[in-house]
This record gives sequence, structure tokens and C-alpha cells, in this order.
Amino acid sequence: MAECGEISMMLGAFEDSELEPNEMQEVAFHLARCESCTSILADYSTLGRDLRSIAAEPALAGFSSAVIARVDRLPQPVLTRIERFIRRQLDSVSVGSGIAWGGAVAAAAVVTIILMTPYAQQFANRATPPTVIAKADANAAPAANQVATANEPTMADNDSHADISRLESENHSVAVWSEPRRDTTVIWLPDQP
Amino acid sequence: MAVVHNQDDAIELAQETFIRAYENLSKFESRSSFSTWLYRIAANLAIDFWRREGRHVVLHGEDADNEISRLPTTSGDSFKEVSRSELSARLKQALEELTPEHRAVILLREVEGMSYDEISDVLQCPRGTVMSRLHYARTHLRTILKDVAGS
Repeated sequence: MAECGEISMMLGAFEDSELEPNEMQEVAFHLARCESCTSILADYSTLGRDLRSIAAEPALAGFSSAVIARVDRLPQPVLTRIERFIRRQLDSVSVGSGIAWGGAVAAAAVVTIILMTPYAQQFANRATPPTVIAKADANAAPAANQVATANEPTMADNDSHADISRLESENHSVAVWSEPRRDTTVIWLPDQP
Repeated sequence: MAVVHNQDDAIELAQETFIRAYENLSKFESRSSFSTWLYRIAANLAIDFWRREGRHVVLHGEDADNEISRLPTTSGDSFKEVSRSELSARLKQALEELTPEHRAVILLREVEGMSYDEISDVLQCPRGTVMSRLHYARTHLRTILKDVAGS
């Protein structure tokens, strides 16, 4: 059996469960037979409980604000000062003017997007007259034949707004019409005999 | 940290802990947990405070007799019969008779509930030192309180 002097050195750690397993067993074995060490252990336990009972938490009302106020009074690094200046400027913008700024930016973005899209370009092209891509020239007829074929007049048949015009040419077999809705100009050349 | 005589001192120390942490945040290297780092700052501040204050209250002569006479005279085991307020006052006084290092160890263990390894991290001392300081602090406190209760 271990001596009380040796065991008493380990009683605190035994109370805290900080001993190795074999030491825990050794102390427990001793305590089962030693009233003196058991009494010391009980006092340690009471002491710990009493220390916890007198360590009342201080009143912390306003603690956070007091700490923040003290931090604010500390000399700030340059970068922090710049950051705070920018933040103050942003905070100074009122809500109403902020909404106005936001609306203006959003409107500018929408206009830019529209102008950059094919839809906008198509809209712009509709405003201009249909492009004549071939002239009713007898000599030019074979070349124009490469642009459109006789199979295509159905487009004009379906379009009531087709603008059919004959060209100033003695060759009446050549026709050119435009279809504004499709943004297309069609040259019709019947099959040559 | 809560075991200081003056609550204003306790709050001042707690505030100073956060101020120091804010000022030295860039020095935190994540070698230990943030809470351990914060406890280390607080413990160092408290130890410095105790050293600076030098409050080792030792009563002599008539003062000691008066203090002892205020305690219950009932004989019995340990200090269990001592009334609550008297016990609180005596415990605080007994704590002040410990060195700052011993006081820090016993408070971190009993009040904050830290393990020996955590205390070792906070106070940056070996685990064996934590154990020996704890043993000394407990023995000393028990002896003081036993003597008072026995008187």
C-alpha cells in the first residue's frame, strides 16, 4: 500500500481525473482504506465548489459598447482609416438618392444591352428602305439568277404587304419585290427559254 | 477573472483583454485555439495586475483576532460550517495570499474548468508545473481555511 505522502501529491489530479489509468487505480485503492486522504479529497472537492460559488459573473451590461468605444479611440492604421472614410461616404448617401442612383444605373444598363443585341439592329434596319440587291438589267439577269430562284415567289404570295415593282426594263419577265416584314428583297427570274 | 476584490477591476481587466486581442490580432498564429489565446492574454493581464497591486493581505495582532472572532466557533470537519458570506470573504483573502501564478492555476482549473493541458497552453508552462502549482494552491488554501474553521 502506497504511503499517504505519496498519494496526497496525486489527490488533486485524481479529483480532476488527470492521472494515468494505473495511477487512478492506485489512488482509488488507497482511498478505500485511508480516512485521512479521503477527508483531504473531500475538502478539495468542497474547495472547488466554493471557489466556483464566489466567482460570480460581473455585470456585463454595456460591456460590448465600452470595448468598441475604446477600440475606436485607438490610433488606427492608414488602411483602416481609408476604409472607414469610404464606408462613411457610402453611409452618408441617403436612401432616396441611393434608389435614384440605382435606377439610373439600371436604366443605362438596359439601354446598352438593347442597343448591343441583334434585336436592336433589326429594329434599326427596318427603318431604312429595303435594299435592292439586283437591278433589272437584261445583261445582269444571269448574275441575279444566283440570288433567287423561281421557287421563291411563294413568300410574296403569303405576304399581303409585299411591295412588288417591276423594274424599268424592257424585259418584263424580271420582277423585284421587297418584303419589309422579312426584311428581304427578292428577285424573280423565270426560266429562260 | 471574476475573482478580484473589485468588480470594476474585473471589468477593466476583461475590457483590456479584448483591446489587447484587437491590437495583436495579426500576431495570432493559430497554434492554439482562439479561446486559449484570449485566455492567455487575460491570465497574463490578471497576473500582472495582482503583482502590481501586491495585495497580500496578512492580518496581525488585533486585526487577526477580530477577523477570527467573526467566524463561527462551531467545531467540526473542515470549513463546511462557515457561513456563506464569511466563507466568501475568507476564500478571497486566502486566494490573495497565493502567488499570482498559483492563483491563476487554481482559478483556471476550478472556476474555468480547464484541463491541465489547456492550463499549460494558457500559462505556457509544462504540464508538470501545472500539477505541482495546483497541488500547492489546494494544500495552502485548505490549510488556511482549516485553521480558520478550527479556530
